[in-house]
Amino acid sequence: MKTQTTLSKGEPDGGASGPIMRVRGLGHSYGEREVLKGLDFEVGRGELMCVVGPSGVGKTTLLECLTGLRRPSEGEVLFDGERIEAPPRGLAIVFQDYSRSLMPWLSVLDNVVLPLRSAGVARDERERTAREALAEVGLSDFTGHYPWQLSGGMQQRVAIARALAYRPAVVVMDEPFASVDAQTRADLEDLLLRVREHLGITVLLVTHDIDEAVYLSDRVLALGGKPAGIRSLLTVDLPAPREQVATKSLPRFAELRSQVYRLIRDV
Amino acid sequence: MTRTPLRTAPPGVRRLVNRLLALLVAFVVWHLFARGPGSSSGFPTPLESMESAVDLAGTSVYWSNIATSVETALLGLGLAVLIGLPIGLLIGADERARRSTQLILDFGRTVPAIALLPLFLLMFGATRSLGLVLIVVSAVWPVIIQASYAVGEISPQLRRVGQAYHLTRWHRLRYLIAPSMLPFVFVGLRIAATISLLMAISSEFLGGSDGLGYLLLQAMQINDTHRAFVYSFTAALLGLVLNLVFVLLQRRVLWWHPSVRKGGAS
Repeated sequence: MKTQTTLSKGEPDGGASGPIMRVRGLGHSYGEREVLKGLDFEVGRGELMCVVGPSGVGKTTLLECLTGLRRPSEGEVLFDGERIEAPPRGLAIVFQDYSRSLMPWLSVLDNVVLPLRSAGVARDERERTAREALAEVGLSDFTGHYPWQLSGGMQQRVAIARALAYRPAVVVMDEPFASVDAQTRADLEDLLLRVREHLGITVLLVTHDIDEAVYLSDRVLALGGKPAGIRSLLTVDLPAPREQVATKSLPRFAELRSQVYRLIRDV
Repeated sequence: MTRTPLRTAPPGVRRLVNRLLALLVAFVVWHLFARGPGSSSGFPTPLESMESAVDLAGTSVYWSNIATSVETALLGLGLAVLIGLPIGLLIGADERARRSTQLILDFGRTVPAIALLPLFLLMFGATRSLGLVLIVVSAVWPVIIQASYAVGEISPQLRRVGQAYHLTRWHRLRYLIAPSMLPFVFVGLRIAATISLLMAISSEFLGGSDGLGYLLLQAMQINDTHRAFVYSFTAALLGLVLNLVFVLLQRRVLWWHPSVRKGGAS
């Protein structure tokens, strides 16, 4: 498919090997309060990793440090071998609150196009890329709409399309499906799996939902404790493709989810 | 007979008919008042007022003085915005500045500008400058206050979008910051516009420089209630027109805002 070639060719690795992200001795404190401490892990190319932990454990702080939106007080994050100081060009973020992360004064298409305009992509190309990204999330018929004319799930799909059109090597998502109803959430999860399969991008997703983490992930990073550290980094050996009913009724799924549950609850 | 077609008429027509009916009732009450209790003080009937209005509409003095008042109001509004907007933005951009200027702003907006009129009259005399100064002194506050709020209303989430997606400085200003602030600045502008018109006419009335307010003063001095009435009505109509202009403007520039847009939630 043509979509695949255009949308994924932005990967900066050019087929390089080794992890796309490397986290070394990461820690962060707000004044006296230590939130994160001693995190070491790597995110492989094309991997889908979920960071899961209870509310208030410091997931958002971790995400901010990983994306360069916040400077960690200890350690470093390497993106494609380079230390992150600001959000790197090869990384796109999908925020939790879609209603506040999309611009109501811009159409769906223009919301997706704007970052490409800033990047100096030629008009024809940026329009094409944006339309492909919107097609990828099933919103081809809504390019002329405004975000507020769409349902919550569709708005979050616009935000995902914006991230995809940016042609990132890594998409980082902060509780992306937390503000939509259960059915929409399941649909969006499957959409994410499809898109990721199709484009071969790396996804790092932060969630408090253990089921979601196990269902989506290649590996789950369980965060817990005060200050929060890595409880476990476990490989999810569930067969692909995942399917909402079949996958979630596997005995292995239940095992994994109770394992993660114990990891992040027990101190 | 007449009721049946009205019921089946489209809602727009029905609304118009209802409004005209209300207007008619008002005219009748007015007429009865002017003929009865108001007759001793020379209170004009609606018909008499309309006659004077038609007479006045044929004179160039009437129109040129209206033009003068509107010009003064718009000029003053322009000055208030030019002065107030940058100050408001600067104050709003800094938390400390916002807190430390709170008192001055509250004080400034509560001082009735009319109370300063004698002072300004001594300084500027009965000139247009008097009106302009009065307008600026009273209309600059809502502009400053709303502009300083506006800065705080840019969502941190959108700022991060700008950061994460490497929007250029210009794109951030044009597509992120300016539209976020517009609803708040617009409210300030609208309040300031109303004040400007009010102050323009008041200053002419009290200070005696040309304009609708001066015509009103003259009519009052020679006890010409009929004309005074027409001038008051003219001032009210100007206010209505100004309001209408802003409603239309709002629809044009804030069409995406929850207060204006049609359809969709949140």
